[in-house]
Amino acid sequence: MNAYPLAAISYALFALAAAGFLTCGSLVRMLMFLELMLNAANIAIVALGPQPASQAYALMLFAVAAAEAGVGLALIIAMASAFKTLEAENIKDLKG
Amino acid sequence: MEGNYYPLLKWILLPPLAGFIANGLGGKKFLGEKAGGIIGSAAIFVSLVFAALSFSDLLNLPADHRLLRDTFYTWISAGSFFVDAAFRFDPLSAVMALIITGVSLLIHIYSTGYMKGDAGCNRYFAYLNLFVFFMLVLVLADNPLVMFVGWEGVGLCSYLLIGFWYEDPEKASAGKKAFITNRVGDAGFLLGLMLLFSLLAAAGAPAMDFASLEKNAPLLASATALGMAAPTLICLLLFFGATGKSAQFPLHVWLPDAMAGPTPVSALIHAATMVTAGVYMLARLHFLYELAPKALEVVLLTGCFTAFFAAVIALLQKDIKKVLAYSTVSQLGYMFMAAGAGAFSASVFHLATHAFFKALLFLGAGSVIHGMRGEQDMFKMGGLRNYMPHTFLLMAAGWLAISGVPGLSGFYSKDLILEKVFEHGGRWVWAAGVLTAGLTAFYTTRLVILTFLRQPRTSSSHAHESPLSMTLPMAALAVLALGGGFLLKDSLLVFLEPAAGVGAGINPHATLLMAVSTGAGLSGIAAAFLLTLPGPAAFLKLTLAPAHALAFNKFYVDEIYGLLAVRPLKFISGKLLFKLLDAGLIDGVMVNGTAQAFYKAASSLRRIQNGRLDHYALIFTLGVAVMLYWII
Repeated sequence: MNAYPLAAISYALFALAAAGFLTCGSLVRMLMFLELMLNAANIAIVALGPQPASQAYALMLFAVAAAEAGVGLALIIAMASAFKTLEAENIKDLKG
Repeated sequence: MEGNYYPLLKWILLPPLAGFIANGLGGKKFLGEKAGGIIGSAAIFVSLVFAALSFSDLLNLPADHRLLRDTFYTWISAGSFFVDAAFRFDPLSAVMALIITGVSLLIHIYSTGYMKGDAGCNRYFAYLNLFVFFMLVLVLADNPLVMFVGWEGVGLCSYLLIGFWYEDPEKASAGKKAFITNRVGDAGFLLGLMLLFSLLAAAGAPAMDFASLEKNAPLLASATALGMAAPTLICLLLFFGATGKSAQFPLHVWLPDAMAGPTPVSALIHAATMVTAGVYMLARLHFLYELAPKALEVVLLTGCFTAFFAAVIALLQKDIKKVLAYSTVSQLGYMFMAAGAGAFSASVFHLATHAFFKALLFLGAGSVIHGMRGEQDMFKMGGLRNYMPHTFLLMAAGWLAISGVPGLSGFYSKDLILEKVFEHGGRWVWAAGVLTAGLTAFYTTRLVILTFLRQPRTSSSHAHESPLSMTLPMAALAVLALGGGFLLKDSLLVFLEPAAGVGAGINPHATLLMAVSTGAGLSGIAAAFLLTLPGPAAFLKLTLAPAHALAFNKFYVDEIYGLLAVRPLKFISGKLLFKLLDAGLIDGVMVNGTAQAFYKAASSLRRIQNGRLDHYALIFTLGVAVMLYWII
């Protein structure tokens, strides 16, 4: 199987997700874009990695991504209750 | 290596060190005053026994081979520069070691009486033992570097003991003055040693022990340094060190102030032992000085001037210990005169007799001060012979001995020195020496008259005789002061001759010279009896008022130094070094400046931390992009 189309999809997905991550203001969306970036990386691994080990890596990465999403969502909920907002530009208590 | 290995030497050195450690660590809490005194004295006694044993072993050797050595370990090894922690016991060291341990033992015993009830008694004995240890290191050292260790160590102990009653700021500052003045001299000493080593190393003979130095010294004869003959410069630098340690003009100013310490300390350190270190050093390095006649001339003139100058100051002092202090300076001047005339063994002879009678006089003065409960002004004493008969008799022995009464110790040594000076030093120097002998007799007699004779002037009747622990050591010293000169006059010189160069010779004018110097001494005594009568004293005071003020104020040497050295130094260190360099540059620019710089830098850098997540994310992404670019 030719891996290059899959790799191209992966790069495109990563670039779109990164652009979305940088431009959107909401924390929930940022988290979703993060997941997309992770998925792009997953596709790249499956496409370019040695078979079948890379498929096993991808499965492990799903698990990690799920855990990460859980932690991220928990943090977002905590922040939402603390700051009463989910817009990143309104949360800048760490300003030096 | 030349000289017999002799393991007993370390047993001369170690007991005082052990005594110092025991008293220093045990202190008042574990040892107590009495045990401290006993340990201190016992340590010196053991040391004296081993010194005497070594001495008898030394005497059993043939006269040309009297040298015992003990090397502990190699102290410094740097390239061609080797220094061993080595000790030697030859006639000169033997005489010094016996004087030091003997006189120290007597003074330790005396101290147990004198210091009774003092809160710092254990500290006192610890310092005193440490002093004896360093003094023995100084005289037993086998090379100038080990000698320098002892040299510095006795300076330290002198400082500690002068400032023994450190609660009194005046006494503490007297200690500092002694230390700093000595440091000035030590700088010269150290420079001399460095020059000596560097020139010898350049000549291919870097060994530093005294035997090799003596053998290699002629290599330096043709060398020059700073446009002078090298031996002359080395000898002058070393002699500058000696002027500091032995309180010769111009560095004599510390010794009179050193009288702030306890009186037994003045007797031991500032009369009998430490201040003679300079004389010992000259005798030890006589082979260098013999290569440098110009340096010897400087030694002679310095000694002569100091002897006369200090005797004049001693004439008018009120404080009993100050008289003795200036007398010590003056007598040390005599020793340097002898050394300057090339008669090193005569100077060691006078060193020995002076140790006896001056220690006796100091201990007598201590006994008087003890009896008068701390009073030191002679004009408040008088008539004490009735209240302190033993002290009076013992002190009289010291008085007659220092005045040069025929048959007593001071007579023999002073006479020998004046004879040598007449032969090698010139008539004027000799005349000054004779005049000084007269002055010496005068001021000592004045001291005895004011203290013991005539009518009591104030509360003398409260005075009480000192305990046996004080009078017995004085009696032993009195025996030595009376008979020591007669006993030693030939044997010592013969014994020293291989080590100290010049022996006794027959001078055609000897009898005449002896008569003149004895006459000077006796007329000094007579003049003192006459001039201290109320009538002549008042007359003299009236007619010689300006001269009186000049001499009474010690020729204003302290004031001159204050103006020339202390004030500029204070200005430089206060205004320049403290205000400008320390407070301004180091504290201001370097310490606080660094903190300020970080503060400023941080306050501009904190703007980057604006707390906005999207900015951080952007920077992070760009950073990853740059890194990727680098990698690929």
